[in-house]
Amino acid sequence: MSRKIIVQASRLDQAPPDTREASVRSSDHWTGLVIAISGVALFAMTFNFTITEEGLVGPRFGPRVISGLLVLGGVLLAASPWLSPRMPDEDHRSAGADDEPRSLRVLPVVLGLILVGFAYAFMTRKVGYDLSTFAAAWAVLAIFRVRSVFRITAVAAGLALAMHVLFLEVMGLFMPDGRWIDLSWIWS
Amino acid sequence: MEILNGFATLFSTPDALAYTALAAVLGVVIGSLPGLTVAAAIAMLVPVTYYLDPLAALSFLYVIGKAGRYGGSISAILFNTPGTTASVATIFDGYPLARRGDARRALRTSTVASMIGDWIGDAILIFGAVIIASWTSSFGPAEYFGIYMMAFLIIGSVVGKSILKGLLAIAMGLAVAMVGLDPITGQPRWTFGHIELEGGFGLVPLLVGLFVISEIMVQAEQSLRGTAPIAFPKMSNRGLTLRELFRLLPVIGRSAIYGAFIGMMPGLGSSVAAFVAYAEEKRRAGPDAGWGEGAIAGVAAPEAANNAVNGPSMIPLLTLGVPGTTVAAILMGVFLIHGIPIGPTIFSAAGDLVYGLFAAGVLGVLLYGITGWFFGPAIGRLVSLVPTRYVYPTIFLVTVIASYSVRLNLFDVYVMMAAGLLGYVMRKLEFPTAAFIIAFILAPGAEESLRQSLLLSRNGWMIFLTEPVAAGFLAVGMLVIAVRTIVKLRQRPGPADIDARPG
Repeated sequence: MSRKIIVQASRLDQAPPDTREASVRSSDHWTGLVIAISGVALFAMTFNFTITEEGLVGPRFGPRVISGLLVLGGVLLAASPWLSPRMPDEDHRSAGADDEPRSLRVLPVVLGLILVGFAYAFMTRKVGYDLSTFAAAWAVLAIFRVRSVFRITAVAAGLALAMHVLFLEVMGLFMPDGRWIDLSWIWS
Repeated sequence: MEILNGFATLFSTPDALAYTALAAVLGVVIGSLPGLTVAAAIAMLVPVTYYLDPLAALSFLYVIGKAGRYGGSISAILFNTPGTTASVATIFDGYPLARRGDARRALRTSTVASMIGDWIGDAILIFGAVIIASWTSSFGPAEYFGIYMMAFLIIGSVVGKSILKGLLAIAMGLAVAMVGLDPITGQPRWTFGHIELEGGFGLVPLLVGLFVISEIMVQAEQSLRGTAPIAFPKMSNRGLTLRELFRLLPVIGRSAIYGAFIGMMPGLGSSVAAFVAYAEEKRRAGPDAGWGEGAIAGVAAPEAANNAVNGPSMIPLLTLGVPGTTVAAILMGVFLIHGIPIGPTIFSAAGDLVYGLFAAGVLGVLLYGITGWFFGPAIGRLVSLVPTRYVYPTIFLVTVIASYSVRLNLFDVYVMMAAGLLGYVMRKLEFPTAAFIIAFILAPGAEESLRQSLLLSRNGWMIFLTEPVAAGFLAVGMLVIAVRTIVKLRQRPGPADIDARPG
């Protein structure tokens, strides 16, 4: 029986499928370890549950089963690179080396978005919704490589205004006042 | 007939009618935006529906899902970029048609095929769901636990490339769902002493984070590579003739049946339906039919199939309380938010609502068809003009306020961002996020049914083997895993085959 090679259509402009698959498989080992260790930690925490089983199952049963499955699955995943047959051109070092420059460029972008999100929520309580939205919009537009500072500032201001009008004025959503600065007096 | 009462309910609820119409147009636009999946868009819009009438809320999101699946064909045909994963197969013949100036013909073929496929799926939903519900209404906790376990096993093994990763995603979703107070004893579980975690993680922040924030991260990553401006193809006025339409009807009908059948299976979804229909109809047409080079049947088949999934995918949700697709999982969340019990009793407890929703679906198909027929090219032109580097920052700001608005708590924004990072990492490591969120949604019901079963049982755990229906569902789940594992092992290259592979 001839084997079919299934080609998965992808919109993303990525490394060739073989290299990408090798990269994923090499990370499976570490991913599996992280999952297994997390499972062990979660299982250990179930000993702190003060109310235990009543009858066959209780509040501790589900968490213990799930954390046990995470440990088992994590160990299997960590061992999977050795359990699965490899492609002849699969070289973990070369796959990793090809990915490093890409990963190094991508990491600041991804972490930057996370940081903006957390900062947005944190700063809303400090400077109010309007200013924090303007700052977050500015930062995200910069992450998406909008070049002109004037354009970023103008679009960020427009977005902050639009968000305020739509969600706070039209939909009547309540946002906390800023403790340091608050611009809500403009709208009252 | 109950469906006529459904139409009466819909037309007597102006809000529902208005939101259905809005959803038909909005869904087509959203679906045609490359990169923003329909599930992500629906997740983002869930908070908008909190203060709506339940029928209006559900109709809005349900019709967006339908219209979005159709809308993906617009960018697939015009720009060689699918707006949704369900439209990937449409590119094979749609884009060649656009390149030779027949984009309007391709768009209209897609419109008609999507409408007919969707209506066939709706007919199966309307008449099939109530039959299945009458059978499942007698189920007790043991049977429900069997259903939940079957869903976990099937979805974990079918969704995604790796069975192990699918099952691990299920386990992770279950673990996250258990954070909070135990529903029976009130025991805090995995709350780390934080009062904010005692209520557990909110569904909307998790949904929005996993699907929308992770997608924004992927798009930000894409922006590093730079994007060329999207060129709008030249378009002749040649449309779809009646003769061509009649010749397409058998293709559309068969493809819709494939799509409807696949739609009823948890975990498979519209992209699988589209590829299966395309491959099967291409095989039937033979090598001289020009498939892959601009055959309009090559546009009709995947579009009919992917839209025929919409209705039948609601069957496991409404009859068993098990969402088989991500969109169904989100809709299940909306049902729960509005206090509507999901499962076979829904037809007796909220029959007017259910049939009103079915009616909204049927009407929504007509409305998105009209939108696409007359405005498809204009929507495509709009998509080509709006730079994504402005769209995604806007979506980012909307998601933050959407998550906050659930409980008016900024902690949910932190949860959303963490879920976004988790979703991004899961995508990169090829863990299926759909399995994670479905497990998260089903976990409370699964645990409750397990504990109720054991309380009622005189034989302890044997109840799941002595109750035939429960045992049957568990057996089906185990069988699917076994079959998938065997298929996967057979697909793997052995040492002798590695050298035989091309390249």
